[in-house]
Amino acid sequence: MASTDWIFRWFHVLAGIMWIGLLYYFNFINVQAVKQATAAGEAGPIGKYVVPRALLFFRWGAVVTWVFGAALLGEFHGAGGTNGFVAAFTLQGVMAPIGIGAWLGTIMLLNVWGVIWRNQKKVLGLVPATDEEKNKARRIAFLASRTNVMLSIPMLFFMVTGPTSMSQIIYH
Amino acid sequence: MLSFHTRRLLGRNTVEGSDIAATQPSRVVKQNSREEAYVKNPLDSLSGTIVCGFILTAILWYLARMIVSHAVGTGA
Repeated sequence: MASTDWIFRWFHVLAGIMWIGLLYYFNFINVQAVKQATAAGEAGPIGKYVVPRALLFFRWGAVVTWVFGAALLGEFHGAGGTNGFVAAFTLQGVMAPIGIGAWLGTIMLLNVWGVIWRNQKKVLGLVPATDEEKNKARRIAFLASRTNVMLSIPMLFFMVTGPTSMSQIIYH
Repeated sequence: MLSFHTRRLLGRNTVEGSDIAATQPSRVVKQNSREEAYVKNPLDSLSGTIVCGFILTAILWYLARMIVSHAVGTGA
């Protein structure tokens, strides 16, 4: 491993907390809060001031997390001196656990930009959409966000048990 | 004749706003000629989402263990 390993790891964790923290905020707090605020006729400020700002840090946090994670993987070496990034994503040997985590993180990143953000733009009125389109987009974004919560559970498991001394106990 | 549960779900889906997103059933299954039952998506509830996450973790852990064991066995 190179001397830059700790920097990549540090920023990977910092950005990851930003990303997954906001994901959990949306799913554990915001969904229920918006439902109650809508019933009370007070949901406007949440959609106008809170959600757009949270989504900004959410989607860019995902990018930064992935970039530093990829850089960190590159510091490892797979069997036969293979680049760690390649060894992980091709699930080679002892790099397979962190590779599964990396794949889950990648799917989550694509979900954020390709599904959640694309549909949230309609919901927030950043792109024109009819009420029917907004309702459909809201449902799709909701399920995509919940999918990411589900995927975050194994993803974090593989991140913390990947190429560490702990993997000797867990995977052998 | 719709069951109490089905009527309750239908009633909730008429609420306007974001409530629809969280309560809309995933698909309708024809149970018999008189009654339809909704199959709820586990991702509609937080507890269902978390349970799915742990089940997926167990499946993927088993897969990872198989790969690592095979690699250690072959010296890869």
